[in-house]
Amino acid sequence: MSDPEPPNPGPPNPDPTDDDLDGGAVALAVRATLAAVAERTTIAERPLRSVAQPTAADHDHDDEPGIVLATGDEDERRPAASGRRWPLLAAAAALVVVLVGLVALANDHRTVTTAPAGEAPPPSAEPAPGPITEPTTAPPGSTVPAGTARPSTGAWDTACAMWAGIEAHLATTGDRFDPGSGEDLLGLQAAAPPELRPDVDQLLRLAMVEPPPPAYEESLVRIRVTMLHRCGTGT
Amino acid sequence: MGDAEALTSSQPARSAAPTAGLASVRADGALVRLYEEQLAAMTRLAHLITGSNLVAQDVVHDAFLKLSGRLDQIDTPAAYLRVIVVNESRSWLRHRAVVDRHDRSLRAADAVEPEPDLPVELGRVWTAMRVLSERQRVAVVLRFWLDLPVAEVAELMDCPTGTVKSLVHRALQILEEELRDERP
Repeated sequence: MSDPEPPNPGPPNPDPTDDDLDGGAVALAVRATLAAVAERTTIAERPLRSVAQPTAADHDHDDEPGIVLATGDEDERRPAASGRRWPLLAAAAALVVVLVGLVALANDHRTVTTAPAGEAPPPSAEPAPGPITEPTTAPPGSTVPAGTARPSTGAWDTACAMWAGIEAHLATTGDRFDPGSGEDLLGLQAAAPPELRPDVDQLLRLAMVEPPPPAYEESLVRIRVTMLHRCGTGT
Repeated sequence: MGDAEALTSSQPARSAAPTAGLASVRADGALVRLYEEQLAAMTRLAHLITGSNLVAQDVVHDAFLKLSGRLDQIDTPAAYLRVIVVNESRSWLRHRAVVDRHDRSLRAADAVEPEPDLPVELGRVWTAMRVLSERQRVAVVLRFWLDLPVAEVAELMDCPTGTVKSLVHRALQILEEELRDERP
């Protein structure tokens, strides 16, 4: 006697549709659970004034309710708008950083302009010959204004020291450059601060002329006045 | 929205006498009426979505606060209020998800709220619903509690109808697996 044939399982079940799921046991359980929880929900009626007339703290949040913490206490709400303050703080911090950077750049630029430069500016035009007078103020060709001496930088210290040696030599030669003092003048030309270099160039050019033209004396006086104002080493 | 009416009718009877706060309210009568009609239904809806009765109370009152300034510009305040409640509840769920991931101290504080006193089987379903994602939970509540059509759920959730079907389908599968795993 053969075993009875197994019952025909029939066609495979298609995927459950939404309607099947809606009517399934889980869906029914969910419906019942939601209804039971809803019946047990505590309805808390609050004074409507607190709803209709928001407090100043509510306005601070840009009319957007805060994210409510689980305690449900209004005093413990963390305003959702607090996160929006971060961009403001970040922008303020960035502004401060930019300002500090600009100040630092300005300081660096000032230092560079007072340091020895590699390129010498073009020499100033030779002044027209004329009577030589001792100027009481800074000459027009000089970049150093008359008045109190400015604090010396490193380049000016070097120039002042070199000029002191030149002055000592000029004192012995009657304000005339000989080959020795000409070398000193070449050294000063290389080491002179940018403000002094045009005058040194002019003086060097005029000192090489034999006999020295009248403009030589004027150029020498101009440098002496400059050095007097700068480092107190003029004569 | 017949479901909302059903919700309103199913709410427990509340005191008919206005509270002291209501007596002194400056808001117009429309807001007072809306508050009395919708407070219970909206609190239940928020409770089912967020899973917290206390949070639901805050969410609903925040929703009334948002609505109060625009009431005269809205044709269907009840529907608008429901949108606000759903969105606020979803926002809270998303915030809660972040807290759960990063801040265990806050999560421990939340445990203070008591669970609703449900029959054992329903309590298991309610607990199992915690594993649903925010979107799945919202879709399930809107579909099975408010009995909204899929199209209306999709409009409320701002997503295609196919997505709603998928969310509900997947949520029921997850719940079935959770309940099966819990059985002894």
